[in-house]
Amino acid sequence: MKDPTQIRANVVIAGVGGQGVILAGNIISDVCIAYGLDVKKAEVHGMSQRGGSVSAQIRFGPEVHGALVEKGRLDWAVGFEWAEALRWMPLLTPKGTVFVSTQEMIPPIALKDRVSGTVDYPLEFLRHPRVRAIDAPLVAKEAGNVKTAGVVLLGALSTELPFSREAWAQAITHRVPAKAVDVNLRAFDLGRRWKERVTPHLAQMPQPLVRQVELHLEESWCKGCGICVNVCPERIWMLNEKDVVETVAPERCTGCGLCEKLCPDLAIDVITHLNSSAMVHEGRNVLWQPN
Amino acid sequence: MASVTKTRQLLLGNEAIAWGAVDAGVRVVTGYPGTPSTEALEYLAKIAPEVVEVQWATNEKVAIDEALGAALAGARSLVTMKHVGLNVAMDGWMTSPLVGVNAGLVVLVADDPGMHSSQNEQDSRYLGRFAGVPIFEPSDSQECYLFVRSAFEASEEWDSPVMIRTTTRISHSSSAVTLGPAESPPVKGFQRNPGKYVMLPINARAGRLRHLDRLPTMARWVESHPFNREEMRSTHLGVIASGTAYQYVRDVIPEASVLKLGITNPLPENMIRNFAGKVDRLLVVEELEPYLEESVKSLGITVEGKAFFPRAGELSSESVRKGLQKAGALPDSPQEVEDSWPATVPRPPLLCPGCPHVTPFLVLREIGAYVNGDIGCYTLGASEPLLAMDTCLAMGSSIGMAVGMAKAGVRDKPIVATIGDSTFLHGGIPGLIDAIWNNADITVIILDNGTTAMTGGQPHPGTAHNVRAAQVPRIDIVELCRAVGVEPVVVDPYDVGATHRTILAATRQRGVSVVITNRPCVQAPEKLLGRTYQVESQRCDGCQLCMNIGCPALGWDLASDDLRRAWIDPDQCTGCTVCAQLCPQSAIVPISQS
Repeated sequence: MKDPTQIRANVVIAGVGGQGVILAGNIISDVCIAYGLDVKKAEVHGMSQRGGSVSAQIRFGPEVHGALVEKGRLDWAVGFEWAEALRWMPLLTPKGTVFVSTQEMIPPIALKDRVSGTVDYPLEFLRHPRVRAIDAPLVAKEAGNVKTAGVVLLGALSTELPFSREAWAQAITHRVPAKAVDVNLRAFDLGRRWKERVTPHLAQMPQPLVRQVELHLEESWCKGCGICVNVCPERIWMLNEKDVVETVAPERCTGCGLCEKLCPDLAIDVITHLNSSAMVHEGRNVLWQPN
Repeated sequence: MASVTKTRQLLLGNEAIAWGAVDAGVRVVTGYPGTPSTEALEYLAKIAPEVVEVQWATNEKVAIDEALGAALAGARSLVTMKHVGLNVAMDGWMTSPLVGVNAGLVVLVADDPGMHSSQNEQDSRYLGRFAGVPIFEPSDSQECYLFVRSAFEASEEWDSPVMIRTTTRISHSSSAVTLGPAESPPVKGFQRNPGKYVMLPINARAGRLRHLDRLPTMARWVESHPFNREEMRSTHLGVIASGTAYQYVRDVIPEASVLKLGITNPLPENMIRNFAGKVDRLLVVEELEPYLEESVKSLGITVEGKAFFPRAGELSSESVRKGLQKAGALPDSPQEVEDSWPATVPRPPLLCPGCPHVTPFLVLREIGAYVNGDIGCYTLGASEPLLAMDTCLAMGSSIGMAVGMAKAGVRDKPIVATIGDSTFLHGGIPGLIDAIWNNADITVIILDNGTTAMTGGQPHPGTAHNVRAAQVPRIDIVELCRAVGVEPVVVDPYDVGATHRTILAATRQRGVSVVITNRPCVQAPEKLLGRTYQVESQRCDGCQLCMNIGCPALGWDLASDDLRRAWIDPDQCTGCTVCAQLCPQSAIVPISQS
């Protein structure tokens, strides 16, 4: 390993608000300062912290100027939520390494494509040869507190940097609340044994079935009461100038059937297909549902 | 009071500013929270000795008035605000250099290039030059500390407020800082001097002349100031830069000569001329507006800048490199990067699980009202999935904009203003009074969560404590509305039906109606947790009505193998029950009941 007082590197910690990203960045920076290195750390505060992406960029070396990592110059990325690390990959050097937690925090916006129901989490990222996927929450639980998952990942990162275990332990002790020092140090030491805990094969994510919906409206039966307009969770119905309902965004229909159930004129049919073949429910003419 | 370590330590730019003020012997500190400036005052309240008065003000105008009053009374004082806060404070700001100071007055103005958390990205240096006050621009945390200390001295030397102008990347970056010895200048006390302090036209004319008279001497002072530094290296290219742009230039083109400006008003004109004469080609690299570039050009010097570097958004080493390549100062160097990474999911900011702002926006979307929003967490009511906001301009603007819409004759939908408690107290009250006075047909919804939530939960006049957690008198918003002539209706936003009925009834009234939602923020001052809820999966039919809330605790049950079922993350659920009230299948129940 390199001389710890001469090393020059760029690290990014990425995660979601509340995961301890800023704390982890402070710990790394403290270790660098203890070795007399120059360090610059850029972080994101404010609106993004409301459930959005949070990151800390740490640049260190004998002399560092700007706080932002340039494209192609990121040496290590650590993802407290793995899809967040992916956001930084365009910056990674061809030799860069990525440590990620296998934890997933699916943002509600990713659920938006409600009809297909597929949350587009790019799982192939976890199989990339330079990505080390660690079940950090599980290791953290073993250390005594699931909230130390970030420190587990710091432990993993520490094995690739030339700083002593003691310097890391000192920084952690300085930065975490007194009563949490022991559990964090346990988490850090377990993280240092990351090679034993890399997830070899990802558990197969259950792929939700694709649901397709057909909407049928018998226009001559609609008297324009507007009940469906008001009850639709997706606001896909509206009354047109003829006082007859029409769909304004049929692609948003989730097939819940509320409009069909509440239409006093039986004018609406909602037909739902699973995987575009298995028919589970077909409008008002079906009196029973197949198992 | 935190322990004072004088060794090299990691500090955020804002924290270094706080230390600079404390070590300069600041006695009165005031400001209004606003990203990226907030931590300066908050951190200062933690580290400053008891003798220092630290307080949040109702708004930036009040803050600057307070600080000037304190300075005239002989106490060194500091004001903190974000760039748009200075717009609120402009009235006092423009006249303050005419009045002068008795003890040092330093104004931290934190700009937000790239609009990480702002509604615009104005370059506040123009407002510093407009007022004719010295502007100090630090480029890292150590300079934040030193510049603030020096700014107090400069303020006293020039009998003028001094602006410390930072940007997000300076305020919110950390680097190593070595603190110096603290000083504690005595409070001088107030000496009557109405000829200088009372801005009657006759006195203001004299003040204006005093102000203009000192500008040439100030211009000479800045020529030899150590914060402006010529770094001669290769003479092929010279770059003029300040703040964070200086750092990017040093990273990207270390061989270039640099004129680093730490003071950007007044500008050291001779220094600039000398530097320009020593280099073959001169560039200005600066964030946002061509402030320095225009000034250098006005000296008759050939210089380039914004032709190569972006005017919008934040600079970075990358954009500075691209600009220098475009200018032909650096060779094109295709970086080796892998571009085959898959796209990742977007993760925009969201209202928290259990956020009391959700229900009013669900109701407003349901009613179809024209909603004038305001500045705060609840501006997120404009984004997916709530989609219930039509305008948002500036602090307190919602009410005035609603009045304008009503006066323009909009009648097809109710006109609503939504405004948070802190924003209401900051800039909403005059709007409400105006609406009542001018009899506008609008509904004002005050989203009272008892804190300044967006910036991290700072107290405000409607909370019963101040920044140092001491008990203070509380301004009662209900009584305040009554006092200006409107009887507000208070409703619990966790009761979806009641909120719906209340808001609907209010929008059907003529004249001004006020609805106040009264649940506290789930994050601040403390994290609130109730009984957690779960989805009974056999009853859920996947209608996703619950997902219209946009609650981060709601997701899909990945274990269910047939139809998709909703799922609630028990670690995130706060038990607000809003989703349970909305569920048409009554499938959402408290965990212990099933």
